[in-house]
Amino acid sequence: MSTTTVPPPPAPPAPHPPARRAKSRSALLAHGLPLVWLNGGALAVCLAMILGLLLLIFYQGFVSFWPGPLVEVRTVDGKVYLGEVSRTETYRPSAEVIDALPEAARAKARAELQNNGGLATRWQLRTGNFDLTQTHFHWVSDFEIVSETRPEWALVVERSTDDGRFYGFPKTFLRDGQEEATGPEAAWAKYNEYHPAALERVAQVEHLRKKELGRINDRRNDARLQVAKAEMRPGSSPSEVEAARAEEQRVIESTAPAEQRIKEEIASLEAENAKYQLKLETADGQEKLLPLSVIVRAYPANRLGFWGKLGVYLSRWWEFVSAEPRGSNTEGGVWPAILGTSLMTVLMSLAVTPFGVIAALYLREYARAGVAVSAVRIAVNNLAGVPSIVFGVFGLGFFCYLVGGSIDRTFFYYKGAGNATFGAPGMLWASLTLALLTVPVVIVATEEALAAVPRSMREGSYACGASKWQTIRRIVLPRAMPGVLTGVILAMARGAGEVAPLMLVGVLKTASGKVVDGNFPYVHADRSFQHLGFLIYDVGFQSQNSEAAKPLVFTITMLLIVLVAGLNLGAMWLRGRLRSKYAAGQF
Amino acid sequence: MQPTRSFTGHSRRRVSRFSVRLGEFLSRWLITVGGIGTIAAVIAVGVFLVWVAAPLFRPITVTLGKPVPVAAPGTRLLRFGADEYQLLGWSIYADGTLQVVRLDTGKELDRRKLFEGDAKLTACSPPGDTADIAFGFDDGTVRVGRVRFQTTYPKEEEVDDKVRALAPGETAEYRGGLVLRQSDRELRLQAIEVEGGDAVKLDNTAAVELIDLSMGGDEEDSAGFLSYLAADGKLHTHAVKRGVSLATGNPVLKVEASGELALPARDGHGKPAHLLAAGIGDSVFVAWDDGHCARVQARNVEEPKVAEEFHFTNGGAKLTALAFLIGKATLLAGDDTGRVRAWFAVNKADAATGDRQVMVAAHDLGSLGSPVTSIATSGRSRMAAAGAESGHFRLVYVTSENDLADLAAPDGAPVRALLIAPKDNAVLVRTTDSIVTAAIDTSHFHPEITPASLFLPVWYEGYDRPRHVWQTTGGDSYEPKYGFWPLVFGTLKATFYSLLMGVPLALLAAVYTSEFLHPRAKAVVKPTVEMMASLPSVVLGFLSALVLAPFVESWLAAVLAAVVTVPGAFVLGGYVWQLLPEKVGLRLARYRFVFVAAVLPLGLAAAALVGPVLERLLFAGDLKAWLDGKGAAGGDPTPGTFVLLAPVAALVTFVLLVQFVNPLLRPTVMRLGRLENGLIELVKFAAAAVFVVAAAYASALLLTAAGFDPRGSVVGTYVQRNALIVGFMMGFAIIPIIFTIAEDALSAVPEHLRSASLGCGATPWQTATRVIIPTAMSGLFSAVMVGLGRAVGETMIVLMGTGNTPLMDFNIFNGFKTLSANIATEMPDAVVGSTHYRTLFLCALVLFAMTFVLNTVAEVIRQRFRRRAFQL
Repeated sequence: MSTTTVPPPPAPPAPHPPARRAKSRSALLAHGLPLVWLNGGALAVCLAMILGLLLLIFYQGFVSFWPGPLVEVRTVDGKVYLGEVSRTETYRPSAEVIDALPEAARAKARAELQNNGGLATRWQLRTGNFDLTQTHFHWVSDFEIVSETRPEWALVVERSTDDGRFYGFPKTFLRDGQEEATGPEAAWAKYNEYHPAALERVAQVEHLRKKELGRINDRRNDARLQVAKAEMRPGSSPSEVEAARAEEQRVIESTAPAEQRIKEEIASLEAENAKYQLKLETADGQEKLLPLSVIVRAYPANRLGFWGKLGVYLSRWWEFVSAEPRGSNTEGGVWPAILGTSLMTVLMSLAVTPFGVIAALYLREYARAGVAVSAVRIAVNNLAGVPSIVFGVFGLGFFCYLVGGSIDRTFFYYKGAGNATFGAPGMLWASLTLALLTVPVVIVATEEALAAVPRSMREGSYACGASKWQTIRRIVLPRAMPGVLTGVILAMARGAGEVAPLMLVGVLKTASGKVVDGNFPYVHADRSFQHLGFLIYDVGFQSQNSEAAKPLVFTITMLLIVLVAGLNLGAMWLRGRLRSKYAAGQF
Repeated sequence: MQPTRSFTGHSRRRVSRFSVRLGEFLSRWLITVGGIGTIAAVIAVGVFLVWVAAPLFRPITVTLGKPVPVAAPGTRLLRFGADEYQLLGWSIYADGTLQVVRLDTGKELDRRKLFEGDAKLTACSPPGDTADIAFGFDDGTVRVGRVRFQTTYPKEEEVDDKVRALAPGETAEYRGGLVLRQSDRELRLQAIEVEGGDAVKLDNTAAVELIDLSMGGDEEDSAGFLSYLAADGKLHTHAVKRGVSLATGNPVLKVEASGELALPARDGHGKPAHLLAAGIGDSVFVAWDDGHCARVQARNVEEPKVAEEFHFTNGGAKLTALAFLIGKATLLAGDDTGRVRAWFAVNKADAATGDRQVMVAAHDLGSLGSPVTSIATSGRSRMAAAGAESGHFRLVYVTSENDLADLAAPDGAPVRALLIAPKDNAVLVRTTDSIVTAAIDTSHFHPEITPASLFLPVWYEGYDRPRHVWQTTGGDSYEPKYGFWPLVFGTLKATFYSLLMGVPLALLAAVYTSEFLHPRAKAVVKPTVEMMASLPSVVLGFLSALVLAPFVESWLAAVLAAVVTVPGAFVLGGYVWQLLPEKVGLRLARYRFVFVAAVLPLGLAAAALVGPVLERLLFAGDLKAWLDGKGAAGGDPTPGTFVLLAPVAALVTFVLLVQFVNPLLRPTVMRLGRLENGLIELVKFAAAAVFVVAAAYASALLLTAAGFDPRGSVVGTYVQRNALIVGFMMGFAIIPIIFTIAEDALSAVPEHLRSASLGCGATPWQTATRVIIPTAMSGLFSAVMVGLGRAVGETMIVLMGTGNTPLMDFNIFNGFKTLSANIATEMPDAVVGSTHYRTLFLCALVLFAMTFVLNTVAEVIRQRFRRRAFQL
C-alpha cells in the first residue's frame, strides 16, 4: 500500500524544463481515479437505492387505486377467466406444464417456447369471486391463451363482505324477487338508480347499530359493573348491592323500549334493502345474486373513459382516508389507523416534551458540570441507540403488567380477572413507551439549542438584575424554542414510524373498541388501537390474502412515509430557520 | 443576615421580590427533580429488565417440614398419592388396602379393602400421566380403577356448626374428607373418590406379575395401552379404550386389539422386576434387577417385538428404581450405588436395532450414595425426585440437570415412596411410618434455566446429541428448549451480512461526499441520505419480504453478478475517464458525479446480461438446483468455489498490483504521455481481471481436488427469505446513520490539514487516503459501531425478511431468527412471570447490553476524536 501513494521522490534540480513536464504527467497513478470513481459509485448506489425505493412506493401507492381494464381470457382447455391483470412475469415453464395441455395445443406451445428460448410470459389475473372459486388469483401463461377480449359489460363489484371483489356481467335487476330489468344496459341503469339509496340505508343501519345500540349497551354494562363493584367491594352492605341490582333492573327496563324501537327500525331497513338485488353472471356462466346493500362500488371497467376512471380513483382515495377497512383489512379505508397513529403521536409528544425539556434544562443549566454529568449525557445519548423492541419489552412488563395491573387491582377489581382495563396493552401505555424511547432525542436537541444561545445574552440578562429562572424563561427558552421544536418533531417522526414496540404494548389487528367514540370520556386511552405501520406488517405479511392487499399496503406505506417525511422536513426547515436567526442575531 | 458587600464597599440596597425568589426556588426544585427523574426513568429501563430477568438464576429454596407419623398396615406400599392442596394423602398397600390420611396430622380418615373376592393382588401399575391404576391378580385378572380427588364448595347453609365456625385457613373433617375455609364466604371440601375397579375382559389365567397402563387422557373415550407380564413369561399388549360397563354403570376399559410376546429367556437372572409402557401402544420396557432391559416395540399392538436389549447400569450395579418422566419418553433409572440417569431413544440410521433407534443415557443426575429406592416425577414439568435407602432425597430438573435440592428425612429412615405434589410446589416423602413434606418456594421457580442450559448445548429428548436449540412452544408434556445461541447466532448473522453490505457503501459514499463532491451537490445529498434514517423500518421490512425477496429469487444470478459488475463498472469508468485529455477532464471534473451515476445503469445492465450467461456456463442454467446439490452441475462443487473465491482473488490481485506492479511500472509510465499512461492502466486492469478469473478458477480446482465443497457451510439450499435479503435491506437501513456520522467526522478534519497536503503537491486522492482518512479514523470507527448497534437491534426487517426459524446455519441463502424478532413474535404469548416471559426479558437485556456497550464505545471514541481534531 505504502509504495503506491508515496509521492514520487523529489527530482534532482533539473535545468531542463521538459523533465518537469514529464513528472507532472506521471501523477495519473497518484490521482487514483478508478478508486475515486468507486467511491463515487458507492454514493451513486446509495442515492439510487433511496430514490428507487421512494419512486417504487410512490408509483405503486398512486396507481393502486386506478381502475384497470377487465380482461376475459379463453384458454386452450376451454376455461374462461375474467379479471384484472395484477402482475406479469417471465418464467421458464417445466416440461410437465406443457404435457398437461390438451393434445392439440401442445405442439404449438412447444414451438412458441422454442422461439422464445424456453421462456414464457404469464399474467396473474385477479379473478375475485372467492365465494365461488375459493381463490382470488389465477395465473395464465401466454401459450395457454386462445383469445383475449375486453368485454364491454364486465363489471367490477367491490363488496363489503370478506369475500372481496366480484367480477361478472350484469344480467337482471330484481325487485322483490321480480325481474325489473333484463339485459346488461337496463340492469346497470336500474342499479345506478337504486344503489345510492341502498347505501344510505346501510349507513343508517350502521349508525343505529353502532351508535344507538352501542349507547344502550354501554349503559347496561355500566349498571352491571356497578352491581359487581357493590358485590366485591370489601365491607359493602347488602343494601348497597340491592340498590345496585335495582338500578341495573331499572336501566334494563328503561332502555328496553328504545332498544326494541331501534331493532325494529334496523329490521325494516334491512328488509327494504333485501328487496333490491342484482343478478350477475360470471365469465364461466355461473349466476350470483348480490343484494345491493353489500355492493360498495361497482363499475363497468371497460366502458369507463378517463373521467370515469378518475371518478372511481378519487372515490377510492376518499374511502381510503375516511372509511374503515373491509374484506378482512385488505380493502377499504384506514381511517382508524390514521386516527390511532396521530392520536398516539400527539399523546406521546405531550408526554415527551415537558420531560425532555426539563431534563435538558437540568443537564445544561442546573447540574454542576463534571464527570457525572458527561457520563449521564453519554448514557442518554446511548439510549437513543437502544433497540426499540427493548423499550417495547419494558413497556409491556412495566407499564402494562406492573403499573396497569396495580391500577386494575386497586380500582377495577370488580371487572374480574381477564377483563383488564389498564393491565393490558393500550394507547396510553404505547404513548408512554414511545415517549421513553424518544425522550433522548428531545433531550439532545434541546441541549444543543440551549448551548447555542450566546453567553452574552445571558450575561446581559444577569447584568440587568434578572434571576436565573427569569433569564431562562425570558431570554434562553424563547431563543431555544425552534431547537426544542425541532427535537419534538424529530421525536414525533421517530415515534410515528416505530412499530416493533407497539406490537407488544398497544396495537391490534382490529381495534376491539374504538379509541375515540361518542361515549364519555370520548378518548379511551386504555384501549388498543390500529396503527399505520402495524397495518403494513399485518396486512402485507400476516393476512391470508396478502397478495390482494399488496396495492393497499403500498398506499399505506406511502401515507406513512409522507407523514414521517413531512415531520422530518418540518424539523429541517425549523433547524434552518434557527441557524439563520442566529447567524443574524449574534452580537 | 449579613449584608452582602461588593468591592465598591456599598451594600446591596434592593431586595428581590418575594415572587421572584419563590419562582427561582420552585423552578430550581422542579427542574432538578424533574430532570433527575426523567433521566432516572430512562436509565431504569435497563434496571427493570435486570429485575425481571434475575429471578431466573435465583437458587430455589426447599424447606423441609416436620415428619408426620402415619399408621403402617405392615404390608408393602405400592402407591402413594396426594391432592393438589396437600390436605389428603392416600396409599395403596400390597394386600389391596387403601388408606387415606390427613397430611397435616397424619390422622387416618379411612381405610378400606379395594377389592372383593379371593383373588390376591399381585401387581399394580406405576404412576402415569392420568389417575388410572391397573391392578393384576394371581388368577390372571386385571382390574382398572381411578383414585381421584373431588373438590366441592359446600354452602354455609349445608354444613354443620363445627365447620361454620372455622376461621379462614382452618380445616376440619367433614363427610370423609377435609373442609377448608378459604375466605369469609367460601368453603372448600376435598374428598377422595375411588372409581371403577371392574375387571377388564382378558383371556389370561396366569398370575399377573407386572402391569402398566398408559392412557391418552381423562376423557370418556380416550384410547390407551395396557401391558402386563404374566407368570408364564408372556408379555401381553392391549390397545384399550375407555367405556362404560353395561352391568354396573362403572367406567371400564374395552380391549380393542391384543398381542403377546414370549420374552427372551435369561437364565439365572430371575424374573423381570420392572415393566413400563409408554404412549398409546408405543413401546414397553421390561427390566430385570441386574439392569438389563428389553425394549419392546408395540406400535403394532398385535405383534410386539423386542427392538433392543440394553443395560441401564454398569459395573454390576443393580437396578432399583425405574420411572417415566412426563410424556413417557424419558426413563429415569436408579441403581443400588445411588446413581440416577435419564435414558431415551434417539434415531440412529446405522443402528442394529429393529426400529433404527437406540437408547442413550443422556443425563447423569448424580449419585445419592446409597441404593435408590424410589423415583418420582412431576405431572407438569420435567422435574424428578429420587429417594435413597439412607433417607436422602434429591430434587432435580432433568433437562438442565439442575440440582434443585439435596435433603434428608429428619429421622434418617429409608425413603419408601416419593411424590411430587400435583402443583409442583412440594415433595412428599413417605417412609415406612411417616410422611415428610418438603415445600418448594414456587414464587420464582425456573428450574429449567441455568447459565449452562442457556449457553451450552443441552441434550433434549429425542435429539441425537446435545444441541443448541431455541423452541419454546409445544404440547403439555413438551420439553421447552431455551438455548440462547441460535438467537445470538441469528443476530450476529444478520448484523454481519448487513454490515458487509452497508459499511463499504456508506463509508465510501461518505469519503466521496466529503472530499470529492461539489459543495452545492453536497448540500443536497447529505440531507437526502439523512432523511432516510427516519424511514420506518416496517416499510423496509415489507419491501424486503414482498418485493425484494421474490425479485432476488427470480433474478438470483443477476443479483450476485451485480456484486461484481457494478463496482467493476465504476472502476472501469475511472480508467476510461483517464483516457480523456487533461483539459477536458479538468473542465468536466465538477460534473464528475453525473458521469459516475450514469455508469450505474451500465453496471446493472451488465449484471442482467452476464448473470444468466454465467449461470448457464457454470451451473448448467440453474443456480438454485446446484445449491441443492441437484441438477446437471449439482455434482461438481468447482463453479461455486470459483464464485466464492473470485472476490478473494480480486483482493489479492489488488494488493499485488499496488505493492509490486505499480512500483515496477512507475519509472516507465513517468516517461510517457497522459494518453499512453491511461492506456497502460486500462490494459493493466484488463490483465488483472483475467488474472483474477484464472487464479480463482485454478484455486477452485485445487480446493475441489482437496475435497472442499462450499455447500453446507457458507452457501446451501436457497430459501426465499434469507440472510442475503436481510443483509441487503438492513444494510440499506444502516447506511444513513453510518454515512452521517462518517461524513461529519471527515468534514470535521481541520481545513488547514487539507490545504497543507494539497499545497505540498499531493493529489486530492492522496490527501484523502493519507491525511484525511487517518485523521478521521476514530470517527469512522465510531460510525461503524453505531451502525453495528442499529443492526443488532433492528426488528421489523428481520421479522419480515426471514423465515424466523432459529437455525445455526452459516448459509447465506437460509433464514435465521434474531433476538429482537424472537421477542416480537413470542412476547405477546408469554405468560407473565413464567420462565418463558423472563427468558424473553433476558433476550431484551442481552440486546440492551450489546447496544449499550457498542454505543458507549462509539461515543467515547468519537469524543476522543473530537478533542484530537480540535487540537490539530
